[in-house]
Amino acid sequence: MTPQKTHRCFYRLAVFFSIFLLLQGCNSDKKEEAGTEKTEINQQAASGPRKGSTLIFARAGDSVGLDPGHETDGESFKVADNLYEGLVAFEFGSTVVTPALAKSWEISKDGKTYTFYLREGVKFHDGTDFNADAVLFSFNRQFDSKHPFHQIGGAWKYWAAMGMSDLLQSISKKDDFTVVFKLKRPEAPFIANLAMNFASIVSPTAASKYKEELGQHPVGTGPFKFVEWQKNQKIVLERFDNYWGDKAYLDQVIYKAIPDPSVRLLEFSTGTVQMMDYPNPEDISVLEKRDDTKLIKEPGMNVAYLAMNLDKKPFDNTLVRQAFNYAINRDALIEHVYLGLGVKAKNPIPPIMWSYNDSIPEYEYNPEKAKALLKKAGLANGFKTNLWAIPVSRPYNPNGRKMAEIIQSDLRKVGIEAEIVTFEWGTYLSKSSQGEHDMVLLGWTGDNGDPDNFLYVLLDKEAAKKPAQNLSFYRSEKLHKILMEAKTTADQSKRDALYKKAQVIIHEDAPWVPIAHGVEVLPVKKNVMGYIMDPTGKRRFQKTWLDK
Amino acid sequence: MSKVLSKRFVSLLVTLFGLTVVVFSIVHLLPGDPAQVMLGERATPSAVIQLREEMGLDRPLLLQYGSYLGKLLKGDLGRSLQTRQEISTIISEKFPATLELTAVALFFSILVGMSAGVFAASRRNSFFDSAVMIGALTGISMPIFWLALILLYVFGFQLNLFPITGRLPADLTFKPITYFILFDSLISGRLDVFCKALHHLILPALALSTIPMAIIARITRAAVIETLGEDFIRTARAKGLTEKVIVLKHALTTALIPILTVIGLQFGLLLGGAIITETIFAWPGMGTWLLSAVNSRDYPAVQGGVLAVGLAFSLVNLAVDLLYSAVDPRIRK
Repeated sequence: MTPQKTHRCFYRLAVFFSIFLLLQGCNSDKKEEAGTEKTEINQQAASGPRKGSTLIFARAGDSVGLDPGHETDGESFKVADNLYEGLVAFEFGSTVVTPALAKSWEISKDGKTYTFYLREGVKFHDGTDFNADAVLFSFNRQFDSKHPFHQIGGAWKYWAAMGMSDLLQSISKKDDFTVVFKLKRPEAPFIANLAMNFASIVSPTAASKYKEELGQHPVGTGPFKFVEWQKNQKIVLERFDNYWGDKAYLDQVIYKAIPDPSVRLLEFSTGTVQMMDYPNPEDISVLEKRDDTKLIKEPGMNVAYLAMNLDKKPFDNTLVRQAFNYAINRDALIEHVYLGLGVKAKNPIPPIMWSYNDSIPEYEYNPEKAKALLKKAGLANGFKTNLWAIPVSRPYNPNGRKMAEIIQSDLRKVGIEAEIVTFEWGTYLSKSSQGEHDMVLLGWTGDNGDPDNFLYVLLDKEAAKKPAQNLSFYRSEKLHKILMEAKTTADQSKRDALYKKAQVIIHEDAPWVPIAHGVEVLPVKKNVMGYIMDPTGKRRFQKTWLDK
Repeated sequence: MSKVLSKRFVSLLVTLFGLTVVVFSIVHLLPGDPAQVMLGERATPSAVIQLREEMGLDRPLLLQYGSYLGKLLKGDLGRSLQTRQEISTIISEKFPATLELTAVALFFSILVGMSAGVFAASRRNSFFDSAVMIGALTGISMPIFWLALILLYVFGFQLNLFPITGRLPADLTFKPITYFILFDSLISGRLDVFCKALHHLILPALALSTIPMAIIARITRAAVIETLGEDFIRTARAKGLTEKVIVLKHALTTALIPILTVIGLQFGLLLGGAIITETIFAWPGMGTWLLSAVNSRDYPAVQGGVLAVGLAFSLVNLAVDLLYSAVDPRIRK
């Protein structure tokens, strides 16, 4: 090498080396931080809830917005659940309704008047007071088309989807801490609706200040308050120290959006996050074996079903529908589509829901019986039909295409030739709501934990009017009577009995092949304590703390 | 020069106008009603009708386009149907992320791609030449999602040299100003943030750079080989110039035009956002945002986003045209 070349080579090496050092520099201070964190934790007692520290939660996507009246997606609610509260709430880990911002309520004899007595001394995160005006504001901006905030931010989708305007007569305040809701008809599930996100109470001061942008600057009364949002990166919440109830333990909760499940797992494995949403089903067995990880499992409040269109022959024949129930191997679907993360369904409502009728026998997998029933129906030679496969992955159905293919091969064994059809998601929903299908795969995730929210919405004859949500176009007068009675009865035990009866009728008429209830799995680090998984898909961190 | 510029500017405006027409028609021709898509399984008939009305989707298309164009001329891109945010605000947050990633990725691609291309051309048919060409072929055909996952697994997880996702560590407090984090950290005097931002940039930029790198290497090699066969190179050789001077000074500068064209095109393409790279590295750029806007039929967001990307692409083209005349005196008139 000439001296000049040596010199240049040396220079290049120096540049390389300094880049390397720079990177190492970044890395080493990261490690130091982690080190100090560890000693700090070690000094704390291991027993009992521990105040302090930050939980980082890796999830599949960013929130759309944080105005509870406007949002419809789960990722928005997972944050809003910690920022806002309604008059009532679901108990942790269940769908039982308990007092929240209302300390108690009364229902009139006719079931049409609800009087709520509000908690006093509650503050919003912006320091303003919670009172009857805030309740009126939060509801009337959605309900009253003349309200100055009704036009702000576009449609009130959830309010509309829950049919609240058809149900409510008026909302008024008796005094600063008493609010009266009048309904047009008695509707028992109404109280459960009020525990849903859209019925959260927002700060009227903040709403007036931010208008459309309230979703970017959320202000509620919840145990955490909003700090910062960097789109598609992170949302930071911190403990609200003026919270009226049990204060949270964590200093901060950071929601980090990582769309790819494999990458989410890598991030979780390096230890930079303590909790991750939606792992790949394939990765569960790996996670189970890790010492630093525990898996929290919860059967979701959902159902996947195959709806047979009763408006089309031969599905108007009950024998045919029952035959299909015998012909489909649900065990195989649980194993191959859900990879074990599902529970076989025999009723339209999930087993975690009150009034679930466990005494109903399931249609077991029995192709011979299916063939016999088809023969009895005069279809011994089988027939041709179509089967619509859901084009997107949903909590109740991770892989619609695969499910359709397995069902197709099951049906072939009993002489039925089913052609698989699919469309883009929006088209799929609108075409099926018009009844263009013979058989369609779909599902439902419960909103308010009330059986009415499954049975009435999906199987009542009223829901079979096009565009329909009752995709079987099953119109049973007998079922309708029971469902209406259950809707208008306030007595919980009576309702329970009515819904049990409804499930028997549905079982016999078999408008669906109920397939499965998806199970949710949440991997967390071993030091995440006190976290309770909610069947409604909520992610509430009020009772969570980090141990050493 | 100013005449050329003003001419280009007019054609830019025409292009953008054309773009609004095309984008507007395409998004409205897409199957699937936004109201239906937004409501999902919960799309009761009355809810769909109410939502369509409130989003103004029940008005005639031409009227919708007219009011869109009117607002656009006033600089109002509208609000996203989904997030209710100003679209200009969203773009001002997403675009810097994409531009920062693109700039670093392109820097890698040009550095490595051009050097490899020139080197291969000057040693044509050697072992090194074949190695570069095979490498380039691999680079072009390598699925990015696979490469990105491998990079993450090896350098992020196993060796723990690089962070896995995002632009900065989640628990770091730093309020971006322009959303060019490298720039923001420098002007606010936070060297630690700058260092971390750079650290977060390297893996995604590497993954993103492979395809442009391979393309640039191939085109550089071809262009340099072509010029090396020309008469003036023979003259230069006859003058007794060293091979290095011939290749770098005479051949490369002459071969620069096609290389610049390709770089310009790649740059423009990357500005539209890299959906796969962004998804894997959880990078908050234009690509994933536009994809989700299309999927949810968020018309104003798609229109605004495509328009912004179109504008950026046109500006890059303009810059490349200007560069042509800078590197080649024959184009300057």
